Amino acid sequence: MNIRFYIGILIFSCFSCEKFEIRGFFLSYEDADERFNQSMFWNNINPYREIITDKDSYIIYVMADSHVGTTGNLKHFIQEAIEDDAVAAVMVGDLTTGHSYDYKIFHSALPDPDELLTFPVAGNHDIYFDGWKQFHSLFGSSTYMFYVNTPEGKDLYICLDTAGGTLGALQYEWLNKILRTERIHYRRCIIFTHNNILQFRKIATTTPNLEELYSLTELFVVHHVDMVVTGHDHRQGCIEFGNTTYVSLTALLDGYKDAGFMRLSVTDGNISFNHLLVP
Amino acid sequence: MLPRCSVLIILMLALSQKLDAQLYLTTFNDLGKTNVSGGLYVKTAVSAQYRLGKTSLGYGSLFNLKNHTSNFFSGAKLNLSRAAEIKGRIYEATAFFMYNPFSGLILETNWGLALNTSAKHFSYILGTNFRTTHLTVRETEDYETFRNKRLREKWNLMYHVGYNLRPEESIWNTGISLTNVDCFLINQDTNPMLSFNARYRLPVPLILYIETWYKPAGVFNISADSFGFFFRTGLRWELL
Repeated sequence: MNIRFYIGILIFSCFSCEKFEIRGFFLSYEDADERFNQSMFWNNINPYREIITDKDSYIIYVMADSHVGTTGNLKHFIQEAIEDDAVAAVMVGDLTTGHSYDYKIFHSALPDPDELLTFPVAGNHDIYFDGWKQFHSLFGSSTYMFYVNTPEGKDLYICLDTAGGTLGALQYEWLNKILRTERIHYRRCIIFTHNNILQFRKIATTTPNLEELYSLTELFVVHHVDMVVTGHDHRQGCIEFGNTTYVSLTALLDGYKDAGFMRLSVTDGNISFNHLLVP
Repeated sequence: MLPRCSVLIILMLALSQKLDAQLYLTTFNDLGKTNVSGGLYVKTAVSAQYRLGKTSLGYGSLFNLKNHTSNFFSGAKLNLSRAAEIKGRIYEATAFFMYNPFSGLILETNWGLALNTSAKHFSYILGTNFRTTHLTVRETEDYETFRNKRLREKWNLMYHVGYNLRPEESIWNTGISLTNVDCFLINQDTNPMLSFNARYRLPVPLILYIETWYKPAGVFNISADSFGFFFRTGLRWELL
């Protein structure tokens, strides 16, 4: 019995793990630029959605980290959003385990778009086991915008793909251009992405490399990004830097002790939010 | 102001000669690319290390020659080290302070403590640093006051594990290292970097070295992607 035996056991268990693949430590199936190009291809055929409401106040529900599997909490989230008359539900990544059978379960739990518009974003777990192909075929894009148009003003929502721990050069350039050219036309700007931009607490998961972190925070300060909503950490958190509020969501995962989601409210252009726990 | 101070400190270190002292001057150039650099960037650095017995004092500055940010001066580092021998092995404890203006708007200050040692083929660094990110302006262009201008990161783990093919004193050497510490940058502990290096010691007390660094993203998310890379060429000169 020697070290080789234990290393062999470790490698075998990692390869056969249902949760992740050991190759993920070294490379993903697609890099961020490839996923961005595929998202943009889909966006070119499917224009960004514009939600029009005749009220000066509206609600958006936001969740993260459902890791489906099972859909108990996901169904509760959707039901709450519909009953609260939310204009949209944003799902900021780690929606599935990455397995194709879990994508099918997740997709089948989603409501009819006439009932509730949903905006999914890919997280790192969603691209495990070659999962991006499933995400792309079911939802098309993980980098896009949508708008909410009220009688008083128009708000910009940007969804970003940080499933690989970085925006990638192309998506970063796209974001830069959008903020430079589009932001000024909108009252509020909120960004949704999976990976935490700032570190909310000491954990073993990754935030962007320092140069990317500083570039993004500077971009958000310069272009008056009001809020950045992320998942990933599985714990609620809120940090302000400049005039941008960085929010981290708890997980919606079934069986998770503090499972919950976020209720985002915009009233006359004023943003407020609260975290709701699943009973 | 700061670039002038940098030159002054390096000159002071160079001129403060003493018979049993050693002075090392190091200069290097980086050529690299990251996902946010908007193409290739070029940086250059100069540093001096003054060693007297078991104590050494060092200072270095980093300058942007080509980068997406407007800053020419982009980093300074001051460090004080003390070596000690424990059970036949040399350990060196270092306290440092770093001042890195990332751009006209974002400034990072960083201080920390590190312990380094090396064996025949291996080198190790273990330490911790405390980082503060500052907004350098008081208000937005519309004269709106910022709600928070400072971010603090405490107890970031610093690590370096290096392997050299040949013993330290060899004329030529090559090696590999896994670390989150570079001369003017300490990444978050969850963002390791991989470096390959080669060194050649000339008969005059001069060491030429080249390094190539790879910066992945998302490693600890088990969803790794490439963030960037750079090549470094440098000279280390022992003056005294």
